[in-house]
Amino acid sequence: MSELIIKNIQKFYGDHKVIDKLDLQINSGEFVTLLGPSGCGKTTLLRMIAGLETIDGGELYIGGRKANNIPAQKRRIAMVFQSYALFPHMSVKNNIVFGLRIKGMELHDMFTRLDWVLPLLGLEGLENRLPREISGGQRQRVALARALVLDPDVLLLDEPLSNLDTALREMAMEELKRVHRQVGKTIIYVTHNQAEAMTMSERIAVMNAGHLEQYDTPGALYRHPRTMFSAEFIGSPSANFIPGTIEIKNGELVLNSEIGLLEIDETRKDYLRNFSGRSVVAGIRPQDIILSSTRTHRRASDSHVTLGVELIENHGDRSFVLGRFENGLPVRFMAANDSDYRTDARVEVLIDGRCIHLFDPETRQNILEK
Amino acid sequence: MKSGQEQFPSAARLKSILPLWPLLPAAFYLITFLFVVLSYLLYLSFSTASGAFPTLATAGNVFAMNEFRQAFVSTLLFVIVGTPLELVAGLALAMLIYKPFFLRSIVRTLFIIPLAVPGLVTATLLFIIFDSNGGFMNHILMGKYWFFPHVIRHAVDWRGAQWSALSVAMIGKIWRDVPISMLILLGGINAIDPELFDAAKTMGAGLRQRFRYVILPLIIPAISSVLLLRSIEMWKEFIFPYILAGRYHLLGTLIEFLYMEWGGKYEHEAAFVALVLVGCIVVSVAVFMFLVDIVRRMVSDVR
Ligand SMILES: Nc1ncnc2c1ncn2[C@@H]1O[C@H](COP(=O)(O)OP(=O)(O)O)[C@@H](O)[C@H]1O
Ligand SMILES: [Mg+2]
Repeated sequence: MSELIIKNIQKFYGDHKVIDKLDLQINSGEFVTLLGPSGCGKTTLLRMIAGLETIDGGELYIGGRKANNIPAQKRRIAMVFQSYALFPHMSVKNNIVFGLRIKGMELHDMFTRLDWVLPLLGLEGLENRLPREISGGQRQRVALARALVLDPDVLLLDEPLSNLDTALREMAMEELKRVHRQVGKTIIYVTHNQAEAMTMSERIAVMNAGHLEQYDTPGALYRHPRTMFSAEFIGSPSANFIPGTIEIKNGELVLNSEIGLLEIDETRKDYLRNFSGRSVVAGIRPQDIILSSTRTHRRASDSHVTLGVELIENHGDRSFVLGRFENGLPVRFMAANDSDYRTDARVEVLIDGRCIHLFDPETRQNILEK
Repeated sequence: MKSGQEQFPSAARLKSILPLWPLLPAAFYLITFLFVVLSYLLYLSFSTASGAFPTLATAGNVFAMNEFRQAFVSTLLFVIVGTPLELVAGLALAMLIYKPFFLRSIVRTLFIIPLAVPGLVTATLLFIIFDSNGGFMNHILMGKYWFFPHVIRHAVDWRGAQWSALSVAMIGKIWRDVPISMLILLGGINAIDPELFDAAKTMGAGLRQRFRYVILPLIIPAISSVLLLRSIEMWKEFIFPYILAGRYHLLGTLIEFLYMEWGGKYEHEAAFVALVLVGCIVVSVAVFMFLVDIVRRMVSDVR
């Protein structure tokens, strides 16, 4: 069993608290991503799991065994470093079998493993090259191969694709998913790129300034962001945030926002009555703001708002539009390219009340998702 | 037009030579100190006091000298034993402080202090410490201090026997110069990406394996620098054997001895010994480079 439990874990650099009482549970064979902006402590947490940094508080269990004080050499954890950390003086082959040699594995078994991993990662023919004689993508695969041959309980990957160009990164992402399916290892993957996290992971741990914001499946993170940070970090482009108040008008519950009255869907109205009079921040994804002209029927939960188009970024099938509401608040949304809008025009959009996420402006928590 | 160029050919040439003027001091240095000095050394070595030139008489005199043969063997041993010792000592010190820790810069400075003490002072201190009667070392070994057991009954005349006198000189030499080796090796170790050590750790490598498979192969260039530079220094060593092993010559002290001691009668022989020393250094550099290459192949199983 190779499940991983992190309980109340802490890390300090001097007085600087880098990881703050973080809890995380990762099932055996699961692909989990640590996602967060640069400097939020992802690498530090990964290094603590690997045994390369001391744990200053809390507990770490690997496969049911408390691992706080097990040295890195004995943790049965393999890590792929952001820089790949390939040994520059060893051939690809010797890099890959280094760990097996250290363990004193028989030559025969070593070659069996090598014969398994080289085709798995498409490295045949490169065995005798030095790291400086292969491309970035190949180095990344050597680093992965070197980790996989160790047959670790847990595989840690620290932004392994960040040094690759876009095309190569997409290939590597698919490959990594395929490898995970084939070997079924527990994988903890670190990235600051939400698209990478959304594509590959079974669950995503969104980190911010050393603590956990939300731990959920990609779908749940997208549909039910627990905090404003999650809503902003997940999804591209980022969500729009519009301040407002929950009010009862003529017996109907509405959101009185800075851009006008916004409808809320029926299903949430009853619950929200408890919140009437409270200030909130409405989080609305660019994908949930729709040009009125493209929608023929109107739902009860839709609100009409007008805005001025300022900038259009063409993405082929759709465009990313930057605009401004009448009160001057900026807004981002996506629009199909065959619809009728242009720069400096005024357009009417629909905002679907079912897609409005409501956050407490103080705690920045979603007031509906507990 | 063509005539313009023909009118000032020297000016055009001057313009192309002018950018080379900053090299003049270096050229002056090379000509004076290499060419002039070396050729005068060659002239002295192959001439005699009576003015014969060229002649192998001086060389014959030197090779016939007992002192020369002994000094040559002693110097060879001094280099062969001293250079690796200094390398090992420097590597040990570098390994102690290559990782950042509290007060590391202070410890590093402490390690460098011996270099700041003039060799003459260090040699004189060792002279006193290894004195035959009342010397600190004899007192320690005779059990006069609580921290060391009683191992010898009578005081040893350290400077009175060839092997021990030259050993003491070697200790002094290494003690004074080891910071240089340490700094060269430290530079080599610190140039290694620390993530390589982390990677080795996660792959199960302990301290010794990390040293053997990661550090050692990657500091071969630093090791060769140490071996080459320090072996040259060992060949040329003068002050420690001069103070501590006065009667037992190395080539470096023999030159001085021949030149000064016998009323200037052996000026030409002294020059020839100096020439032999230069030759030894050239040969030993070649040998060390060859050895380093073998070691490089041994420790870095590249393919
Ligand atoms: N060795 C260190 N000493 C002091 N502070 C550090 C050290 N390593 C990382 N930090 C700090 O810890 C925080 C988290 O760093 P890191 O885990 O590398 O973030 P991430 O990988 O998410 O970009 C950063 O603020 C960084 O400055
Ligand atoms: Mg990082």
